[in-house]
Amino acid sequence: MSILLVKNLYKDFSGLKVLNGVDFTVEKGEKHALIGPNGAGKSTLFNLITGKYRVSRGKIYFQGQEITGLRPHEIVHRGIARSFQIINIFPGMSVFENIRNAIVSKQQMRFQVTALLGKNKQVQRETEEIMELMGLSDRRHVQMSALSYGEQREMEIALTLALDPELILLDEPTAGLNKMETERLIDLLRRITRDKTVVIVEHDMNVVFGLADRISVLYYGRILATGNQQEIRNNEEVKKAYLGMKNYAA
Amino acid sequence: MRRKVLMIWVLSISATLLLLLLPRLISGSRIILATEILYFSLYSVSFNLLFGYGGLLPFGHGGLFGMGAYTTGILLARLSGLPILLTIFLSGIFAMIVGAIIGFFSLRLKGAFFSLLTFAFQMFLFALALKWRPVTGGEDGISVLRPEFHLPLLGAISLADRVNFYYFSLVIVTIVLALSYWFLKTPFGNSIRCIKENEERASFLGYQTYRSQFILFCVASFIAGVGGSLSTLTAEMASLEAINVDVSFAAIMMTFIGGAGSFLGPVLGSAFYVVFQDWLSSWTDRWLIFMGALFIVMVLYLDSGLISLLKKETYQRLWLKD
Amino acid sequence: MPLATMFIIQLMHSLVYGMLLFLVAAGLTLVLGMMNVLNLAHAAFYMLGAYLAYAFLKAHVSYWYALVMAPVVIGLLGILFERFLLRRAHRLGHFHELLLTFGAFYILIEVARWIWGTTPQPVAAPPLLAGSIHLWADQVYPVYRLFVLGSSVLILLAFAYLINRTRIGILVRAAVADSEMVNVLGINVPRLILLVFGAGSAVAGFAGVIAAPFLCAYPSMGGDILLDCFVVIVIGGFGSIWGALLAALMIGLVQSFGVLWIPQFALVLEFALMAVVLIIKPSGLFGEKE
Repeated sequence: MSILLVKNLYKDFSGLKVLNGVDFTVEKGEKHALIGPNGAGKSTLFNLITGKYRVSRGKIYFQGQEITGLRPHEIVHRGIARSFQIINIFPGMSVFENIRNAIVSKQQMRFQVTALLGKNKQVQRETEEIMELMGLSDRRHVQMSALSYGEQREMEIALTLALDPELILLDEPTAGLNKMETERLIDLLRRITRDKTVVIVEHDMNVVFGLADRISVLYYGRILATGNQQEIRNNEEVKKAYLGMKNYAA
Repeated sequence: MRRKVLMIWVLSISATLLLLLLPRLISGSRIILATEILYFSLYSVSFNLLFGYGGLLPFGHGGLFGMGAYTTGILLARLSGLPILLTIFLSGIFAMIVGAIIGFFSLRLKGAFFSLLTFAFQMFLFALALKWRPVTGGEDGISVLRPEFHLPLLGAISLADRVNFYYFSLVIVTIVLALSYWFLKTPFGNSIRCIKENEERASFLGYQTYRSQFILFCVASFIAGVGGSLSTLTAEMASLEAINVDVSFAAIMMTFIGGAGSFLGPVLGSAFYVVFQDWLSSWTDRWLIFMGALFIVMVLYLDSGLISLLKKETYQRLWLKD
Repeated sequence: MPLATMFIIQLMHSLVYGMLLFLVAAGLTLVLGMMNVLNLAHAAFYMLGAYLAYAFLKAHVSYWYALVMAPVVIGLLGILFERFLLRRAHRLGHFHELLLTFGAFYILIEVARWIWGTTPQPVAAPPLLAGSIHLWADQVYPVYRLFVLGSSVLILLAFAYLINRTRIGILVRAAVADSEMVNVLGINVPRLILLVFGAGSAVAGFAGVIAAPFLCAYPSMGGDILLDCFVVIVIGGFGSIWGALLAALMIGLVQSFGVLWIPQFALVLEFALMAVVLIIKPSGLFGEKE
């Protein structure tokens, strides 16, 4: 059984048809890349899966259960977490506090009033672990505004990973990073998500070919093709659609 | 770091001494002002739970203060044997119930709409207080007397004495403020902050905005109700003055002028408000206009409140980032 | 009085009040759509209009003069308010704007209370409009109310024309839809905002002047109309002029008929209506989803 099943999904924004019948599956444990030209609907697909927008038609199943129409926090509770293309962190809080927010949620402590947060050793420990994993430990008390863009990007992903979700959706995690920062992030992702299921939207083909087991091509609202790297490279329709895409030939 | 901690200790101890010795330092009638500052502190801190910490701006918070005030008035007038602590507690509870209804609807709206809907609810409560003469006394209000306070071993203390009542209020206000402060440091307090910082991201981390804000609203309503209850006891009267627009605006003014970015800012604002009102009203009836003008000046030019002038160095750790 | 006639009279009352309410609410919605701020001072401008009418009449100035001058004065006041206070608050944050408009609303009411006292001040309708006209049989209806209805409709038609058929109107509509874009296109958006603000405030003042003879001038009329406007915007849907019209007429009905049934609590009915709408369609009758 696939961990994620998207069936015949449509999204219509008051006349603008962004998704026109998307069928998409993700298997447990795989690293699945979603590529396609700008405006093809990749972020929209993420937004539908994670409950930000309402589905116009179609269904979404996660671990066999239908999640179409659930609200974002409900979907998070089921085990899906996403990162954002535009950095969406907690601006007034420090690195430590940001990650701690995710840990508190993961531990289902959001409504706890019986003890002080500062005294909770387990939360403290798990936050430290994540910061170590992401290499941010020495920046723990720094405010978001003082971080570099690359560090903020790492924070964005750290927040997602800290939830320890079953399914991780990364929306252009390397957007705006230079070559070195990108490589560092890829390496980090490979290590951290070793036994997790990841769907990653990307434009940078080096990232795609470096991480992905399977690739799906979303072309103006429909999945054009799905397959492993070889299959996608050799796919005629994909080649036609991507005429002019420089990295693709590599 | 050492100097900061030292300064905090010095300030805390002097503040505590001042509060405890106040009745000796000022005249009898002025101690009422001090008591006013106490219950307004509760009221404005409860407002700041919603505004400074929760990112919500209700224009109708006075309605909850008024609910507490009238509940105490009605209970004291009709159930004279009721222990005073229970009266205060029930006033808070009733204000919380009303707050739950108001919050249930209002929190479904965002921004100015939320603000105005709470205002609309308050106008309804005001109309109720005005017109339901048999219960609320209408324009005349309800006159009450402060009951005795029965302590288990020490016997009865007469609260009719202003100084006694001041200490009584001091203890209650200190306890409730301490509990509020603690409340903000729990995981739930962090959730509220989190939602205020970035509501979208919070929801994508699993936080439930509506539910969390609803709980916060209920807690703030309870505290406001306790404040209102103390106001009735202080003035020995529950009247429309506890539930009109002026009260709501007072909360906004006190909190903002004092400083919404810190826990004790509103307390400072309450002190300023009461003292300033007392001083100004000896000159003019329309002191609210001056207070309002000052408020506007602060909105535009000093939005972190008066407390930022006094305590910038010592209380930096307690700051919320705006 | 036969039931049918009474019904029709009440219906006419509701139409009069509904259009007056729409007049005030329209200015509020326009500014809300264009600047994303709910200007509470707008309701205070309405109240000021009524009080200015009273003041002019007390100074033995004719009502017609007040009808023209008061909106001008208030329009100027609105422009000054926007230029020197609101604009600054806008730069500081979204709470600052709301706090400022609430503060201004509150202060203006206090000033009115100070100058003119708390008891309602009657304002006499001009002799030309006093009295009643015959509708049918021996049924009469106050001329003045018809005047209110007529002038509200006229003003609104004038604005509809301006908005839909003139260049300025197009700019305003564009700015309501996307003010950043309009700015990028080289239009002086701040000046446009000043214009809309001034016009909206003037209309609010005008509404106050025409309301004064049949509602009187009293301090809490600002709060009353604010609440009604709020219900209008919530029910009608944020950003929708047609929704606001429909909602205003509904509120007019509730006010007129509600006052007959439950004199003290017409407000409850409005609330109930609003609660129902909020539960069924949270974005209002004509509002946009998502």
